[in-house]
Amino acid sequence: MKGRYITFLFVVLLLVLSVCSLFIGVINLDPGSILRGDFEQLEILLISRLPRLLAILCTGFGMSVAGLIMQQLCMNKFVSPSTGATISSAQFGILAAMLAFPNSTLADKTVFAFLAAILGTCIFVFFMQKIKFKDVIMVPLVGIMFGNIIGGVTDYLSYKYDMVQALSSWLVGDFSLIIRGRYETVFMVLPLIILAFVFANHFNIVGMGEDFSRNLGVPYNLLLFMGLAIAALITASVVVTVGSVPYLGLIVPNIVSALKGDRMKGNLLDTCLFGAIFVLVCDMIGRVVNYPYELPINLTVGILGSIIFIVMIFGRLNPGGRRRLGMKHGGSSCCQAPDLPEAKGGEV
Amino acid sequence: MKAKGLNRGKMIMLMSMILIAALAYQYLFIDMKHFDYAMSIRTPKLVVMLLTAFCIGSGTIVFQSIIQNTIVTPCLLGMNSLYILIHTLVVFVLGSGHMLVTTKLLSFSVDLAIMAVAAVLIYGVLFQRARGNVLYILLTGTVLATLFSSITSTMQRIMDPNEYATLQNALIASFHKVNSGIILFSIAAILAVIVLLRKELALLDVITMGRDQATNLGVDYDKTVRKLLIGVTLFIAIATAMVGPISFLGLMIANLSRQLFRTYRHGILIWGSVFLGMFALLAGQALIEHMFSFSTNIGVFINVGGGIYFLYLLLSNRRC
Repeated sequence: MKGRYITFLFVVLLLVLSVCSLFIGVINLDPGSILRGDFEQLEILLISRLPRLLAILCTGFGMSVAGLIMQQLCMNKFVSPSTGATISSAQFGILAAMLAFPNSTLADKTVFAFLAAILGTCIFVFFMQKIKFKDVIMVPLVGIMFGNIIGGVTDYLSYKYDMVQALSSWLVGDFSLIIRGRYETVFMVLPLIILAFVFANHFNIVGMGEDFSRNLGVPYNLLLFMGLAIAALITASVVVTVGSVPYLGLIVPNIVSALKGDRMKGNLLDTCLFGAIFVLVCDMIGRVVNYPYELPINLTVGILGSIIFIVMIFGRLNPGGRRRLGMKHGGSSCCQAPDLPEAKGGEV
Repeated sequence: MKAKGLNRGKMIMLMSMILIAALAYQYLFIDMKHFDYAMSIRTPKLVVMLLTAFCIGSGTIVFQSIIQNTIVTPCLLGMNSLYILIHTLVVFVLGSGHMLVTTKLLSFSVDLAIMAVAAVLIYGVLFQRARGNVLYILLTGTVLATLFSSITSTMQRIMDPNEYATLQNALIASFHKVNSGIILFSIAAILAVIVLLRKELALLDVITMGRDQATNLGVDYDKTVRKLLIGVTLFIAIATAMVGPISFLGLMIANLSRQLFRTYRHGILIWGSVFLGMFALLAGQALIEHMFSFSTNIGVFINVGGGIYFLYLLLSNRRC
């Protein structure tokens, strides 16, 4: 069972990296004195380092699962919160909250961001289903243009009401401001991921089309909406606490499915783990490169993600060779059988 | 040739509408005491609007014909984010008092040069790697755009707020920041591109038929498309360097032109799109300046109008 082996490897890697991440920082933490109960060291650990680690893990888990759900529901490997207008809608929601209630709390902003995100995503998916696409790549292109429109409106409104720099903390993903007491919203991600685990097979079926899922007794519209709502809620809670992190939902599920095949239930755990590893590594790079200052996660993920994504695109173009690393999803977006449970063993 | 006559009639009507809009913009509500002064402000803006409409209108039609899809805009090429990145970088590294920021002609030429080099590098070199599959190039363009904007937003975040205020002026599309030197310079650049691409432009009607047909008819498809793509990028770069990020306009005017003239001849389509763009910009700007007394920005109209029109196109075509 090579699949199990990969999962095990991911778990070990994640644990090692998490421990490393706790001890990177300007103030030196020393495991010995923490165990001895040094008050100051414990305080740093509990107020700053541990919350940061938890936020990173939740972001990694959440965004990659959101991406995976959207990709399964739309049956298109290029759909994700950043190419499906979810992130830009959530940002619009935050701006709307800031304009409507000048002293809005984080909870208000979360509610607004969630409502806007789910609305934007549903509109996008609605359009996607109405339109026949000649090529899979048109779907993300349309999504990006749709996101550009929403982003344009956000830009204009924030410019007009002098909110540009105030809004930028939600436009740029950054873990440096995460301390105890102001990041807990991100834990909303966890129950949603559990929900995603429970309904994973259903989402797989919904991805195969309306008639197919009716045949199997799966309420299509309800589950489609539920899947999108989960993805949107995860995205909104991450955007509100951390800010937007590009590409995560796009790249992580693709790499994992290149390694393990396309069955959602089998991939969900690995996608979670790999997403968290990816964010952790990017965050550690960002903290080490410019020590004692740090680069926001938005930048490190942006650069690494762009490179990986371009390699993926061109890997897909060259038959053979690196093709496995790309998307094995040629042709139209709806005709492929998504679930090849037994075929995945030999691919790695 | 009834259709031909009809199209000519439409074209003449469009031109006279432009003339009316231009006159309204130029001479409405003018204070006769300060006539010369008003002209010295309004005339360059008028010229800039005409040039912008020309670049974006023709660029978008050519772009859509290359991609063979009427629902894309050249803003997917990532020139907007590159423009924003260049300006942010200059202000961030050199400060807002530096020559590169204050001398408009210099900053314009730097913008244009960097965007031209990037266009040739990205869209020339990648084109060969992608074996002529234009959609992959577009996707790469959008990826790069995301990369540029994550670098930009990082810099904007740690920037001094005063510097940021200066920067913001450059990042919002407007026709106010152009002088006559820039206008001459861009006219020269536009003419140079047209002269260099005159053969490829003549082949546009053939390119539209698709790779196989075009190759059958003796056209070197890949080479032509590559050159045209670089040309489009340069046009968009010129327009962006002149007025700022605005290229969403193209989606509207190109599609309206296709709806209005119902032909596949690019000679008519391109001019139709250019004229529609001129009319839209002139009428919009006249409204903003004379009716709303500058209270709003033309970028909003373009964004909101373009957005709604985009969704309408998606729903009415049902395929793309």
